[in-house]
Amino acid sequence: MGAHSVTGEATIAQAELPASPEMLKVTLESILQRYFQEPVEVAGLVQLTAGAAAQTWRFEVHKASGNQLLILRRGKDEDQFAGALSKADEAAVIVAAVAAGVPAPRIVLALEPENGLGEGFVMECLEGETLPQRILRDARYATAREVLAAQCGRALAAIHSVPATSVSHLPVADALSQIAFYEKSYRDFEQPLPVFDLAFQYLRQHAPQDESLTLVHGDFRNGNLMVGGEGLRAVLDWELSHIGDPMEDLGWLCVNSWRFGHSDKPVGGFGDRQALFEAYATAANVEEVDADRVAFWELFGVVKWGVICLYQSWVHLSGAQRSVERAAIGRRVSECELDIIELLKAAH
Amino acid sequence: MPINRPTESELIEAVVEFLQGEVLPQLNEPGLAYKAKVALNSLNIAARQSLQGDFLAQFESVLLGRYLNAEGSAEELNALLIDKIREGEVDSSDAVLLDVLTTLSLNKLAIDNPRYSTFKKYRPE
Repeated sequence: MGAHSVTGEATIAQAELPASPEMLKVTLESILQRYFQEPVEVAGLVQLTAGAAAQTWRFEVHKASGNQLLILRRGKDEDQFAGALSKADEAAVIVAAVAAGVPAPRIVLALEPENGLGEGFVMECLEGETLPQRILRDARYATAREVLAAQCGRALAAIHSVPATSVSHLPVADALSQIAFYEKSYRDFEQPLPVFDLAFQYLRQHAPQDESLTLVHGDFRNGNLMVGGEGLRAVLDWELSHIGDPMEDLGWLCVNSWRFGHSDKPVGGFGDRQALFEAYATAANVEEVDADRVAFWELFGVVKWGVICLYQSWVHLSGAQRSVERAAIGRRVSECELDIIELLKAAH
Repeated sequence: MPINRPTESELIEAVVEFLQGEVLPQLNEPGLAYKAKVALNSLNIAARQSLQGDFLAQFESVLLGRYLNAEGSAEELNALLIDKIREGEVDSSDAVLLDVLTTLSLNKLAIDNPRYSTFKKYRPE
């Protein structure tokens, strides 16, 4: 953890991601030809996201044994405040998660240094909706909304069952180390927010000490879930996964910001805690979910999101990267303040 | 001599109306239209702050001053409260403190985002 030192170098790394679409097409064809052991043609290459240092491309590979829609992810998301995994490490986590039965896109291959494309991987391209507002509002997802909370419970139980040996490359981030990281970050921004000080005090005093650590997705929320009419299709964006308290994932999924206005449905804006907890407990073969521990991690999640908002606006204010979006996000911190107070009231 | 009209908030409102009515409909690129909406939202925050900001800062110093039994600006009193929390003199089991902080954060949200779900629970439209 700690990719960004808060007061030091604030520059968003502008990593070089060379290759024009034409070059990328030729290079991908040679990589995939070796992988599939047959002649291939890459067609319809389009860039889906262009971060400062990370890219996502979609393309179709044409070959005699059948055409396939694929995704290329390359570079490293330098915009993740707490530090993202390298693409090679992320691919290894997804492989381990799919092997444990988690619905996630299958990895086709990880890029090798001699490919000349930097870090990255190719995965299958799945169809589905990821925009939270559509998932929460569109009539075509009405059935999905009924079953999503339970499906999330089962997917999370599968994630947390991944054998430690297959994810031993991941960093360990337990409750106390994460609290220390985010509290130091908050103080370094020098914005006096008593509500945050109260929350950190509470979190330090109530951090679970007897954590049995497992694989944690780290960003399991509405927005990183691919959904179809029938429900959950895939869990996406594994770059924040780590070894930690499994209840961290359940708490984060319930943070009010990820309910997108549907605050009466605590699980992602689509479900209730009981459905999530019961499905999780059954799939994980435990008697029940420790609701207090999930509440602790929900509070931690709101605090963490607040510190991320402070960071984003500071990237703008410090001049590292001027942007009206980053400036505006600074004024979302007050949303976190009110939610923190709500959770502290409920905890006492 | 007072500064001439339009006032600060009237000027911001005029710009909001211009951007909303004349510029936004001309933006065909979705990314740019999104950023323009974020920019408009920021202007609306500034307009609300220009109307309520001074009063709320005064209100904050009165409320915090009464809780802390001290005098000073809102900034000074926030710093004093933070010192007390960091030294362990107060904590989140203090219901009076949580009520004070609820009022203050509602006042901030009245400027930053009066449409926020938790805000609307306290102050329905």
